[in-house]
Amino acid sequence: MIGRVILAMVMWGSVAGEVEGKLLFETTEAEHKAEAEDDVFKVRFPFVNEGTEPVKITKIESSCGCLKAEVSSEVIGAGEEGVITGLFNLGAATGENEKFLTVKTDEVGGEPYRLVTRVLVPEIASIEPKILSWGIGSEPEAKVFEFIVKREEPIRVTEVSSSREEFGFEVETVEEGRRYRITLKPVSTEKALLGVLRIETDCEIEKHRRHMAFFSVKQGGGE
Amino acid sequence: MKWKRGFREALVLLGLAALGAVAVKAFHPYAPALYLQNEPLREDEVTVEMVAERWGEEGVIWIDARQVVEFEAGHIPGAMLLNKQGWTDQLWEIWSVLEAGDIPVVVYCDSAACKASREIAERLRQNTGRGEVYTLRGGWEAYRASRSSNE
Repeated sequence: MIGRVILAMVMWGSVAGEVEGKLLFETTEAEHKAEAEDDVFKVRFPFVNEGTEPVKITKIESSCGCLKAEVSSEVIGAGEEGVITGLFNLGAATGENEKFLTVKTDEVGGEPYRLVTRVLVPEIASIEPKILSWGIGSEPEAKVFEFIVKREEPIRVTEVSSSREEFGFEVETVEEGRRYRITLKPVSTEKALLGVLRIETDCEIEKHRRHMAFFSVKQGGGE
Repeated sequence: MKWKRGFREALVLLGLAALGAVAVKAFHPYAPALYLQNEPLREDEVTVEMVAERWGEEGVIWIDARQVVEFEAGHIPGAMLLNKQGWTDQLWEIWSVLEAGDIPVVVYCDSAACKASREIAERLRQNTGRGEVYTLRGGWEAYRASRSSNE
């Protein structure tokens, strides 16, 4: 009886042991800084098969269509090394971008591996505040956007246009290539509306050439 | 009695197996839920059926938050592309539609697993001041499923 119980425990233990994966990744969370001009950023996840059997990568799912995956080899022999490369399409995204890959294998009882990618893209220019708003029926006072260049090389504002005739605006150069002030004034605040200032620059990186500054007249706006 | 002994042993083995299962469920980091549950809709979330009932499919502005390739492979009729990677250029093009009127905006991405629709909806509310922005529960997958079940 005792012998059989021990045998059962050993068998259970061996099955439970298979739940642990055999692929050992150097890291499952990668953090990188990209350059403002980068369109696609490569993130590498090297690994080694620490098990005694080959492992087949059956599927790699991405949390976003913007993150594609490539694998050095679908079948990784015991003791062999491999790498999963994430190709992150950054486009014009700035700030922190976090996505992940889910890697599925044929390991018995193995759970998928989750590979997290964080890429920080610097903002080369910003508009502050992001949005200006006025309350319906409020004083149609002038308010100010600032266009601020955040990198060392200058970026000049070349043209500003408004989507709304109900708002007048003036552009003032505070410091050429570094800082501009755009003063916006509604003709009236009687009715709700949304609008945008389209700001064009001479930035050599095409995807960062255009900027938008939003404004609105709405209930409770301007508070 | 041989059968009694065998029965006892079977019970012990069953007990040990159950104990192991409970331990795995309690301590394994990837232990699945014991039952499937439907998460309640968030405040800004709508289903395909709710859109049809409240406004009609053509009574909303559909925003597709997926990538260009996915959008070009198929999208909700009338949907406009707007994702984080092309934010300024795409918004530049579609802004005249968004700033006109109070038509609700419904943003969708690929499936329940993607987060892009939430990110874009949040950006529209915070950065542009656009009100009435919703996300579609289940995204493009849910929309396609509803179309095929209606055919």
